[in-house]
Amino acid sequence: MASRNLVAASAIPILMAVLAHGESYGYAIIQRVRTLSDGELDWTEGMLYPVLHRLEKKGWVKADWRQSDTGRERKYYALSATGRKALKKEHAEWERVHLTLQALLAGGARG
Amino acid sequence: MAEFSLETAIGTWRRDLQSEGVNAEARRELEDHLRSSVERAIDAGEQVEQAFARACVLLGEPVVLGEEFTKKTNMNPWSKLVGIVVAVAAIWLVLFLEGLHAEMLLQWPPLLLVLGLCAGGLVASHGPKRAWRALSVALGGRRPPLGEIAELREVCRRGHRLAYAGGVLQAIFGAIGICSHLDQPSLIGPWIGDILIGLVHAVVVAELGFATMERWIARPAPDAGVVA
Repeated sequence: MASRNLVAASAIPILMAVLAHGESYGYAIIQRVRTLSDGELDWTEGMLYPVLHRLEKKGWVKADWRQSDTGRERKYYALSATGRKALKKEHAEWERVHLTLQALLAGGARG
Repeated sequence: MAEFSLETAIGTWRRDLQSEGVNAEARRELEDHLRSSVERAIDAGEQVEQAFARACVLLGEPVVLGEEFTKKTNMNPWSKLVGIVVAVAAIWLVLFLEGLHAEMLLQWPPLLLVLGLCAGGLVASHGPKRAWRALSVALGGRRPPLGEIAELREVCRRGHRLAYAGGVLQAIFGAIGICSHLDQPSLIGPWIGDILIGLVHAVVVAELGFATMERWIARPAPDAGVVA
């Protein structure tokens, strides 16, 4: 299970990465992350929404209420153009951390 | 034993969220999530009551959700300052157009009354050390130890209420002044000016002072996020 700190730090890029594949809503996002991470990234479900609302406020995601196939009104989120740029940047930063860690573990620390 | 009703249980849960300060739109969104979670568990063969209980646990306690949803975002102090300057300028303009003395806004006694009430009230309720500690932590910029944050926030919240109480107090003085000079209309304008000045000072001290202090003390740690 990933540590609390890692789960918290990775929440924004992970949410945006899910939305990069198309619009979605809170419950589906949680299920998608849970499945793809084999349950390793375990979020307190309700805490996802304040993060989504912050992204909406920043203009990184757009949201609108529509009727879902259950007949209930549901809020759908989609990545905005600014959000796509922000995700690219976030991805590059995580990639850098990953590559540095890989290099260090492969023996680069001795040099 | 009474039969479990999902709708009644969701109604109670919704009221709990409301009493924790979660707004209507967020409640609608959380309710959709809760219902989706319950439906999925029922499809997997769970009993309605257990499905509801489990969905509530997964979603988070209403009290925790309430704290998270009502957490104020870190407002940029500069945008707040600009807002207050605009508000003061607007009041100044109104006073000017009404032929009153705009310089009245710079009168010290109303500000001293607000500050005095705050300082006196905080010292009386929390003691001088706590009041000073809250101020020095806010000015010093270092995050206080976790155990101390709640208490220091409470100091700031009380200061915030006291500042508005100072504004209301001056408004009451002003209203009394107006009532006692109803036969002299020319004196009513300055009393209205006094009320406005008192309110402006109260807003400045409460919002720019105590609310900013509280936000600074309670600013989220860099690792704060979706974990409970």
